[in-house]
Amino acid sequence: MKTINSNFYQNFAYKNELITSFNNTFKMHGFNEISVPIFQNSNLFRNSIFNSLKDNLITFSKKTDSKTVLQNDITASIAAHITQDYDFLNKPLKLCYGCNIFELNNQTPIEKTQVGIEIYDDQTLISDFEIINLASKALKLSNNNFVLEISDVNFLNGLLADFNETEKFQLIEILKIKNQQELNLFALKSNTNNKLLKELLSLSGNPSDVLTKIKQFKLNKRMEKAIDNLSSLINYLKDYSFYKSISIDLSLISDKDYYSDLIIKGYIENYPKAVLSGGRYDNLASAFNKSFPACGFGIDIDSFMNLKKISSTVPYDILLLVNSKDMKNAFALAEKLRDFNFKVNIESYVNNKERLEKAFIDNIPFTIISSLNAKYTLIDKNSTTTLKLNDTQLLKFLKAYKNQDQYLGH
Amino acid sequence: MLTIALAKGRIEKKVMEILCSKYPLDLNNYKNSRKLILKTDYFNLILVKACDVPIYVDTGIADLGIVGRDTILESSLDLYELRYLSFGKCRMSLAAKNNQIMDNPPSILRVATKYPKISSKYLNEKKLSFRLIPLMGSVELAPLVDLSDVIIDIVETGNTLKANNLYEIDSFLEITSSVVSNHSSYKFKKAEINNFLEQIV
Repeated sequence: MKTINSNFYQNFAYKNELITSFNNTFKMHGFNEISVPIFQNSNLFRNSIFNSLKDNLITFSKKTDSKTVLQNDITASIAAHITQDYDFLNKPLKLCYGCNIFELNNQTPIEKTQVGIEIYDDQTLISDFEIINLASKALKLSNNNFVLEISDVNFLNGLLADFNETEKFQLIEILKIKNQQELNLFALKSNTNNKLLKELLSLSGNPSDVLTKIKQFKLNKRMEKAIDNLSSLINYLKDYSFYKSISIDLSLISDKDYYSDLIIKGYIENYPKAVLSGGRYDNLASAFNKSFPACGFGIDIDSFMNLKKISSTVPYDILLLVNSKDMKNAFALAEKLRDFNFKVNIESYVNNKERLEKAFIDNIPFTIISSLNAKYTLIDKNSTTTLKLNDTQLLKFLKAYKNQDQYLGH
Repeated sequence: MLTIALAKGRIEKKVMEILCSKYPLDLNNYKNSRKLILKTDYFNLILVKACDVPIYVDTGIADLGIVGRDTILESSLDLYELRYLSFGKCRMSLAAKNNQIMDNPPSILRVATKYPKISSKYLNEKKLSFRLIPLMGSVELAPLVDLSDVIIDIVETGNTLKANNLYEIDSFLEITSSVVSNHSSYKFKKAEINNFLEQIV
């Protein structure tokens, strides 16, 4: 028998379920869900703080509107949106979202679904703790082991301050590929911080170990401030069960230029790339001539989708196969069943045997076949019973069934 | 347990030699078989075409990959290049029939290559106007039949260039075999990976 591939709608249902789970978790922490527009004015990205985004923007042809781009950075978009009213908004402002972003990847347009949170609040440490706590809860929803890497961009930026532009570029490229041989060569040529440079890639792992190890190196003020911030944060995190999944990586490179302090990256076992990315971006508002502290993170929903085999979900509760000579009664019955909160799918009574087999494979709990004069055959998948009933008896039976809560977790 | 994607051919031969000297592997069956997956007590090996190694690692099918750096750079995938190995050394070079062509290059330089991404990056850095002619093999033929002005290709000894009267004008990138990992494997299997790197180097 031919089977219909139902992956496309099961994927969609699962994606929606995931977005809802994430946002429900965020709402438990006082976040308010918002929607983010698909279209964005390219002027938003004029500031050099967005340089890393510019090459990936999807623009429209000049015939339509050259200033419009597709949504690419939700954090920037929300910050731009609230800038004008920021002073009048109640703080802390906690927002969460689930929406699509669009970008060019090797000149190919890509659409991704992202959920995330944004916190606008002066209480830096509380907000930083909140995003790490929520990032951990979100990663836990995958039911896999996870690692949440944290760092402070001021550590690396403090180190890079001693180098010229070419050297900065070289060092960042080396750290991106985590190559110790290249790092040794770079350290050998460098006049400053050779010892620290050589050890940079080993300054990752258990937070306490890293924070102890870093004490043996001479740091400049900016780097010291970064380590102090991380130490304060770690002190809070130590008491929580997710602490074992927290790792400090002082060679962590931020993927957006607007991060100002804390940066985080989340990984799930058996998925090859980071699924969560975020941090603090207190300088972001300066791109819109404003100043306010903010932090947050985004999660790539598609990577979560790749992790899990989609379990087959039941698309509806009752399949009602309608006899063309008794459509009026069948339609009325379907509406009554929907009033009782059953999901009813009406199809015409054509190839009955094949359709019944398909309903069985799809785990549809009840199939009703209509005959003339409001007479029905009810097939109950779970008990494999078949009953001949009129519409009143049918409604009574199904209503009783629902009340007994014997019904597939609905 | 680590899964390692290994480029079939010369790299495979060399890596198997090293692995057999470091681990008590029973690979008698491997030599005469056409098996693409080799399971051992220490790691699993998957044998793939060199150009496919980065994709197996990037998608998480393999934790590590061993392949030439030319293949890794051409893939443009965001992988950790954890260790350069001491074998498979060569260089990426620009070569031409006329050894002075780059002193006064044509307004649009025709470049034949198997490496369009590496070539574009190099030529853009040199601020040259160019047109790429992507080829799958025998790149040295292109300037000889006037398909291109220059070629960009890997050079090991330089003998093939010499045999075809081509000059190696600029050798701009050192290439060696390299061990790559995807980001997640490095986070979750760091100790195992570092242990393997110690053995393979």
